Amino acid sequence: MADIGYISLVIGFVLSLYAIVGQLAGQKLGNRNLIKSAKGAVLAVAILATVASLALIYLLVTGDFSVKYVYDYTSTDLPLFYKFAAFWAGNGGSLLLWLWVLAIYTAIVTYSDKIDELTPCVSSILMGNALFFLFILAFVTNPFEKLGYMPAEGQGMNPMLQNFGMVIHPVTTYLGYVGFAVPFAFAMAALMTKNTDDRWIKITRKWTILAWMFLTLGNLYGAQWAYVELGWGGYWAWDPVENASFIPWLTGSAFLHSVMIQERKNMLKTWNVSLITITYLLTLFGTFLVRSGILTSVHAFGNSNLGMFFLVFTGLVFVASFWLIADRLPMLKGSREFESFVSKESSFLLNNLILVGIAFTTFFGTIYPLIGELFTGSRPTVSIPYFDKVNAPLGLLMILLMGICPLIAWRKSSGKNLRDNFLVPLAGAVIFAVIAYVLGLRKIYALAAFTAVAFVVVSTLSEVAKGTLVRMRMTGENPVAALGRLLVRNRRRYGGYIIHLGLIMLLAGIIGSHTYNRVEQKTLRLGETIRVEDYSLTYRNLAEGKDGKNDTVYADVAAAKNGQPLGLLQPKKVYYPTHPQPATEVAIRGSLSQDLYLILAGWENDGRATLKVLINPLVAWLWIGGYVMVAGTVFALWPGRGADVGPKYTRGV
Amino acid sequence: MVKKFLKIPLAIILGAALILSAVPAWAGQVDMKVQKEIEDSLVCQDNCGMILSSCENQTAEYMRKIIVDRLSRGQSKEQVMGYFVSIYGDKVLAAPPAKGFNITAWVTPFIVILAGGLLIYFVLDKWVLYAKLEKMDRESEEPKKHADLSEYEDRLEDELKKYR
Repeated sequence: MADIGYISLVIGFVLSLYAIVGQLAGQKLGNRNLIKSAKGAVLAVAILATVASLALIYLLVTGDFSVKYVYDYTSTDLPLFYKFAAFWAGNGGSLLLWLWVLAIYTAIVTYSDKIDELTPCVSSILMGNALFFLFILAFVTNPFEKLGYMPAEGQGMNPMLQNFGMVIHPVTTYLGYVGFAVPFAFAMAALMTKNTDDRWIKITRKWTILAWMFLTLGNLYGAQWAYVELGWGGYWAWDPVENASFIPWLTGSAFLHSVMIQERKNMLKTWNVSLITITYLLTLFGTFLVRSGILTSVHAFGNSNLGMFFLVFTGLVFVASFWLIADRLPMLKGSREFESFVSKESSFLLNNLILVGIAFTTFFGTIYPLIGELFTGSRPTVSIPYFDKVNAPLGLLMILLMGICPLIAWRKSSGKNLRDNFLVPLAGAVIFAVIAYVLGLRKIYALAAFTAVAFVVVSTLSEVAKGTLVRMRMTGENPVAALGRLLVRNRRRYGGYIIHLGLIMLLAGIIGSHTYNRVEQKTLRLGETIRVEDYSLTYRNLAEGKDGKNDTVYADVAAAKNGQPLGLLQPKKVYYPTHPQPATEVAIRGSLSQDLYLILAGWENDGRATLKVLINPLVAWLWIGGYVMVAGTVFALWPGRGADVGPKYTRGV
Repeated sequence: MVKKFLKIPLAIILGAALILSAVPAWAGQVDMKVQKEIEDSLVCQDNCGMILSSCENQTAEYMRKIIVDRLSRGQSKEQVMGYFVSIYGDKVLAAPPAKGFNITAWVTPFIVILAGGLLIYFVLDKWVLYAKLEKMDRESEEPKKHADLSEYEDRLEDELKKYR
């Protein structure tokens, strides 16, 4: 089976080369048969990538330890679910997953024939990416490499990866990463074939939004995994690998907003092409970070020579794509008319500035240890305090813009228009701030941030209410029918608003958990109680147990809130025979208002146990907000009437 | 007399009790808030890359014990942080100190964003100006177009008259 997998990769490598050359030459020579034949090669590569992937899954599930990858990442006692997930636990497998997704995406794009003159070029660019991955898999990090003997047992999967979030996180992240390759390929193909109108944007809109949605999910599941599995009480540590998937998410978000200006006003062509290029380059850079081991990270795959290959490939893509953009610059001149500084277009530009600004800040902070080392000789650490301090004011501006954008009209907003639209949201925000202050929200940053959040909520809901009232007046529909039809018939717009509301919930979770979290750590004797805010935790017992083949040490802790019992919590340490360090299994009692998060930090021979208690407010809203964002995306993407862009604004219209 | 006799040991006991109760206040107890601030500002030094307050490994435990020990001996936050920097260098700090070359870490993002903001301002200013000029051009062309049309209308009227 390993041989079948490897041969599939080698044949795939050859065929991808043929697919590229055949399609480009066929288009140049006007030879449709050659193009058709090369398209067949694209399909064949997708099938071969599928065969290779299924072969590796088979080897993992059947536990063939003679294959190094299977030996490195599985063991006989590993549950079937995680044996399957071991597919992307290591370098070779995860790159094979990347290739598999890329090859399928390429086949779909190639056979959907959206723009006849662009398709061969798009397909070739995507195949160029696949060629790189096939080269890496076939000649650098072969997942089918054999050990030459059959070990009785494998080394097992890293315990930290044995979590549902970690199973979903890589898949969704890769679906996002690879998804951005499609609009990038269309943008480059548009430049190569000199079709610089906005057709490529319209065609790739769904691809872009899907990629963005998967990257959102990828980040969300990554945060959930960190919260539950890493056992430190947080969900985001601004780790280089976390940043690697956050930065393209930011530039992708900026792109989704700025393309609206090109669709409506035929402007920002150069910016949009550059932005999607940067986004795709950042996905490659992220992969470089994860694979190179150049920066310290809890998530990295470890040191390997793969980083150099990714760096060279990223460099080549960077040079080639920006050379192409520079060469086609005269064709990218669009309309250059803005009627007013105060318009939705301007607010979108500001939104782009802030999103790209946060992306730059995060990128700069991530690579700053290397810059610092280069200039000073010692490598500084750039971690949570830096990113929090630098990104917090930008985040606050971002929240405000989310509230302001929907209130400003396209083209030009008059003074009256601004007064009418801003009155209710501003009044709502002020009322919220006063009530929140009176109720005890006294930390100035938290108050400012939550007030901005309230402003966005009122502004978004007032826009929906206005639309509903207009519809009721014009059609005589009842409020429910008017609201339903308003949303369904303008899915793109209101899908966007749902995403904004989801993001606001998520941000409320971040603000709450950052500004009002509480930590207590105490060593307790049996029967002793620790009190943290409204919670009391009584240490009842310390015992050893078994979890499959793994030994565990756990504490029984009776929890109560305001005297009401919450049940028994069992934080534990799990000792895996295959790994030297024990894993922390935290106990969480969650609610919409706050999470009680309990860690067994240590114990003594006399039975005393050290418990770390965290009260994390509003964390549940992070996850709820994330899913609302996904729901909004699906709503906006749903095909049919209402999913289209608004009218194109031209002069005099 | 008895009362006098009792007063002396009572004073000694009370004094000792006061001293004993005062000892933890300055030598034993640690301000948890300051301890957390220090832990949030330092990075565990076993290459795990985690903030000290978040890390549970042995190196982190060791560093935490040093913090508690030094705070309980009356050292300030700055003194404790300074101790760690003297041992491990600046890399023990979770954020680069804003001095020397490291100032660039703090100012570069804002300079770049400010530059981006100015660029947007000037570009927008230019585009708004273009729009105004276009509008003025259109307005100046409109009467001419109207005049041209009226000329044609007059000519058409004249020709039609011939056929009446």
